[in-house]
Amino acid sequence: MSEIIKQNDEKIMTKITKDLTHHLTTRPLGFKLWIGFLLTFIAVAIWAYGIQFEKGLGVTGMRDYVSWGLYIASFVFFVAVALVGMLISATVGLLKQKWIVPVSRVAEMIALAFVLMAGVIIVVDMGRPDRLLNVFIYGRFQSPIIWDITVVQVYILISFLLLFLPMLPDLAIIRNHMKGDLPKWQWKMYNILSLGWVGTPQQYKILHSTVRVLLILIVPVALGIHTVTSWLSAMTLRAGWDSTIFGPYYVTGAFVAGAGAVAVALYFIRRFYHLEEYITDYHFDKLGQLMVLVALVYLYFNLNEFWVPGFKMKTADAKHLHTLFSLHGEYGVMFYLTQMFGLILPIIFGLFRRFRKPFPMMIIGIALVVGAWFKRVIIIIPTLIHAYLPIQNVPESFHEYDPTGIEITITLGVIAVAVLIVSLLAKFFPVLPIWEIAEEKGVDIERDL
Amino acid sequence: MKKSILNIIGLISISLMIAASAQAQWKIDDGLKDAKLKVDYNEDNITAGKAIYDSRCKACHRDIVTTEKNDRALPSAPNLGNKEFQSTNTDGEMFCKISYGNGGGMPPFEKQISDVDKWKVIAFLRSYYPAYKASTASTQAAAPVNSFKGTLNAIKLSYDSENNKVVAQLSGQDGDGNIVNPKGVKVSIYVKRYFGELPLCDGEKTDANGMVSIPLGNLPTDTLGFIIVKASAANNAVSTESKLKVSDGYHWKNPLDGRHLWAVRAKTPLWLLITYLTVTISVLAIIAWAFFQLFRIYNLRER
Repeated sequence: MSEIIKQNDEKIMTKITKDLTHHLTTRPLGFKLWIGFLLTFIAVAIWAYGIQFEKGLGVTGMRDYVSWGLYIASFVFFVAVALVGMLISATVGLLKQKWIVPVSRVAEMIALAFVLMAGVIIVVDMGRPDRLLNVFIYGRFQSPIIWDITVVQVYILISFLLLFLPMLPDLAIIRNHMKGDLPKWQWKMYNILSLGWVGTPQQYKILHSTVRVLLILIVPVALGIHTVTSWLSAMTLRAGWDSTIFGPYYVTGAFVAGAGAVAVALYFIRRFYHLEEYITDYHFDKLGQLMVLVALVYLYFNLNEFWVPGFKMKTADAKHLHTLFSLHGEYGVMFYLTQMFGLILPIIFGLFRRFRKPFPMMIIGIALVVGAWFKRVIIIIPTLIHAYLPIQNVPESFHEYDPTGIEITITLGVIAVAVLIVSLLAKFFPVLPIWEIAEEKGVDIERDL
Repeated sequence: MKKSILNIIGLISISLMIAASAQAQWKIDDGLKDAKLKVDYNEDNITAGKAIYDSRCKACHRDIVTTEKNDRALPSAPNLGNKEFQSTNTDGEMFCKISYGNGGGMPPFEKQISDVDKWKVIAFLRSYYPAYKASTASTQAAAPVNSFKGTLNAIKLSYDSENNKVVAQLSGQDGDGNIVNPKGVKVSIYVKRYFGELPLCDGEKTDANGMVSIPLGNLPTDTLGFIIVKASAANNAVSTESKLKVSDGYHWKNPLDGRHLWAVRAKTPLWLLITYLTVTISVLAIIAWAFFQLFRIYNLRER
């Protein structure tokens, strides 16, 4: 009897392993073109950054009024998307939701790539990056900037561990079974990274307990990273930022952006790696439900954020709201498009089961991510244009913000790096957790590794 | 924006004043209508009247200048040195106007200023009207404008730390060229401050030693204990400005001292520092523990 089960187990295991690691062995033209496309972007961005490094931030559109432009808006965007690691793995995972098994690693890959770029774009925003160390040497513990730097670094470490630790058994499987199928360097990489995993009960015990501790730890850290990011704005006395709900407003907005990013990544991974059997309509349906839930919460915070000051209409708030809510305001059109495509329409479509299928979810995901980026621009920049007190003796042009080509190029370049990291991680590592899926199908993994 | 708000406020207050003055009614007591000054019209009373004018009237009526007609428009109160006002008002009428006001821009001072002081203010006002004729009785006691006959050489300021007084010492020569300490010369002493000057005395007369001593009270000084004092005598015939050290220095509480959110890093509030370090070190410790678990897994490899 047990012999039959064992044979059956082996059969399932072989199929799962083959399906989930197939992409490690191939190098299709499409992938090469995609990487080449991203690298071209990045190369142009590096050239643009060279100009900015040499000439200073004067080559950007940032001036005395708007001193936080696309870079900081993108920083908030990166942190927001990175929060999905915590949303999927920790919040939903700790609730023992089974559907996240094939989703969580993609979420962690996105989280790691985006939080790394959040750190990078802060340096890009510095006119004198050679003075970066001064932040650590002279930084004040009273400053939210120091808290932010601390929490971003901690989040990078935890995201790395949460991506790497659960991958150990998979790396060992690849090391054990695929030596002949892989280029030598690639196999060696897996051999080293698997840390000599053999799958003893003791190793599994350590793995489970460590991951569990990290999953609990990442909840306050992730709330911390985005709350502190919101405090960078909210602790400054500015119309539009002077809000007590900025922490939860940012966090829920981050969940929306992250859910969208995961939907997009899952769709393309499923399609190009032919994983339809593992990432099913069921997963997209669940992801869609989660997306609607977080988007509704975000909508609720949006209501608070605009309706409460809009009811009181304090002079500075009124000016700020006019730029957003009037079609004649500087950001009116962008605001309505963003709220419509980045929030309202996804909620409406997400309510219907027929739109929670892979392709519609991918479209909704793109709308959410692009909307999330524009929403960060809307949060950061219009507020800076309307200071409580005017800055004296500045040229008229300082009252507006027009990002320059160099600035846009660098921003797109950093986004391309994030996408590149996700693409490479998804290409060179098992993108779905082999051992967890096998375990779910009833295979005794401790024996069958 | 700010400017236009000021303009609006200005317009409103002007129109209020005009509206008020339109209803303005001067009340003159019959018994006082032709009354004459009831204090002596002399230097002392004029000086005393000036002090009252400075504290009670000047805010609206400003400095008095002798003119033909009132040269000031609302919101300024009239220049009381104008000859039209001086010639058409008797002392008694002025007294009633000070007492009862006009129910509009001019408030009543019946209770705030004593009757004697009101007459002194009127005496001061009349000193700008050369055509004024005081009753013979009241002019008899008029003191000479300057009791000292001779030339003033210098005025010197010093600080008497024992009595906490500022001392002005005058020196001069009498008509015969002898060096003397001028007596009875009017001295004004002011302390310089950011906005305007603080009068310590105005028209105080020198004593037999040619000195004026004014108690300083509890004036704030600069951080090193200095104040800047200006003094002049006999209508600016001589004047001086001195920096006097009058205390050990003014010790103000620097808001940067102590542990505050706005202070430098070395002065981080302790609660914040402890919270930050505790949280950061705890989280880093857990992460370090997780990395150590990687090492443990590695140690359990197949050898």
